Amino acid sequence: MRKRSKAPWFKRNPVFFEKLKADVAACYPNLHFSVRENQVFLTGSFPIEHEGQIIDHYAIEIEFPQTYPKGIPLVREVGGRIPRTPDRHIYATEDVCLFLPLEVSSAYPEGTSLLAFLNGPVQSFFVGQSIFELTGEWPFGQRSHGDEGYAEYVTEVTGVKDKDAIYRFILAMQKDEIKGYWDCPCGSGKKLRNCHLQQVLKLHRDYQYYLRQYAWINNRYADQK
Amino acid sequence: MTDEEYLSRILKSQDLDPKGPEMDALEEHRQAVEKLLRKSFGYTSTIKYGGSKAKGTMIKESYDLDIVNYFPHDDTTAGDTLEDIYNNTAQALEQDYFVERKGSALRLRDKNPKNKQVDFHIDVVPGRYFDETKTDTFLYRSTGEKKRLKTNLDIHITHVKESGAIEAIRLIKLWRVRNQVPLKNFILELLVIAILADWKRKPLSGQLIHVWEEFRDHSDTLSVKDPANPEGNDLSEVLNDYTRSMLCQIATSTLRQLENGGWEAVFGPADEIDKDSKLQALRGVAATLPASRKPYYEEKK
Repeated sequence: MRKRSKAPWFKRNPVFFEKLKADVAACYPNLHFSVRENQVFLTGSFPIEHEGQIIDHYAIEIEFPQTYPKGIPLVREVGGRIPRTPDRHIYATEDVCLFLPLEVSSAYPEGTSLLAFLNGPVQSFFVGQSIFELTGEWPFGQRSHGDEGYAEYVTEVTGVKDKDAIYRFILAMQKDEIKGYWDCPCGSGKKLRNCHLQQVLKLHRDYQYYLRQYAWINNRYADQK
Repeated sequence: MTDEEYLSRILKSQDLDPKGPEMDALEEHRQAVEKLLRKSFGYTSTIKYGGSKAKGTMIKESYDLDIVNYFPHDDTTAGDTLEDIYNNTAQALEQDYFVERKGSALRLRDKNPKNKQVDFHIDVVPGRYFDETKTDTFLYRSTGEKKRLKTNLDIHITHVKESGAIEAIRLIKLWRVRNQVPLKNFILELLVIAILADWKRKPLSGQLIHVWEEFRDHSDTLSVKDPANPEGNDLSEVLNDYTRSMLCQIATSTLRQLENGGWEAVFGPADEIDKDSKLQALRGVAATLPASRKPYYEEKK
């Protein structure tokens, strides 16, 4: 039997799309939805407001996955204001890195509305950029690049600092299932159920959620290779 | 403050100081580009400013420098064909820049891999004059069916400078940047000039509202002609359905903002905030964020 191709989310749920437009128009009147080749974008000027006054703004584009609201939207800074360097947490493709992907379950939990996304992680990123421009310091700190960033997070969750142990925790969280009778990755010699079980379960949930939210982005990078 | 005074202050805030760091940087690049081109092709070509610098429509928020490099009609120093001139000019510039090939222009970016192709906001437009009068010019087109277009930079500059609409053009350009309107500046300028043909004596606020009302109410019938080649250069493909619908949508939103919040809702505060006050305000915003996040970066594998 031939599989019917699924219509994109904004066609399947036009009422939801209209509500999104209304919500954004009310709070961010300089951001505008557009549809190009069955993909929804939100573009325009993203403001940073303080006491009713716009104190800074960035030209941005937000791309929505075809499965939205499943899947985290991709944010880009398209004005060329932020130098495209790792130290500014932005790619040459203009995609910004709002947070460590493994932290998506706390930064963008299930059911996060578009407005909450804009008011939260997106606002946080650009406020941070503006303060960095003026002071050279990241107001909320920053993650180290690459694997070190993941290691930092694992340490925060587990309290473990040993690099080999961190590596074992990262391997464990990527398993399909977690078993309590495994040796604990921390190297204590105890079984997991008597040691860092809760932490491993949390990392595992974080990882599974990350896979779901970033699937469309990871697939795109894989297709581009 | 009256509407006109407010708009006047917005315009002033968008002036680029001729002796300021931005213009110094552009002038430095212009000299560097000219040096490269002279080194490769000698001194027969005409190198000069085009675009908004020549027309007087630059805005601080988003400015590009257009440098044209036009060869005499019978000069083959840079190649026999327009395509040769385009590609050879690109190669000459690639000695010192990362060159992004656009339709007719060559966009210059930083070649230093550490700077990840930072945009210098400079377009070099290679071309060849039509004849010895050095007025009409042929440019190569790397996209589209027609591989060349005929234009005239002086006509474009005069068309804008004598339009009586420069202030309106600059504010509409600012509006375009702030709202990411998907339309090239060149076409937007032509549209604004056409729409304001009988509105030159009206107040600036009225002119802007009229332009947005035209975008909102008549986006389907908007059209422009290239003043340098009205019958030869077809600009209709630029005003496609998508562009028209976005012009309508964004203009509608802007008029609503204006009605609900006045001019400041459209263009923001008239006076630039000083650094200390800005930092204090930013820290104030940071303190109220629901949950701050540490940004991250990872090389895509």
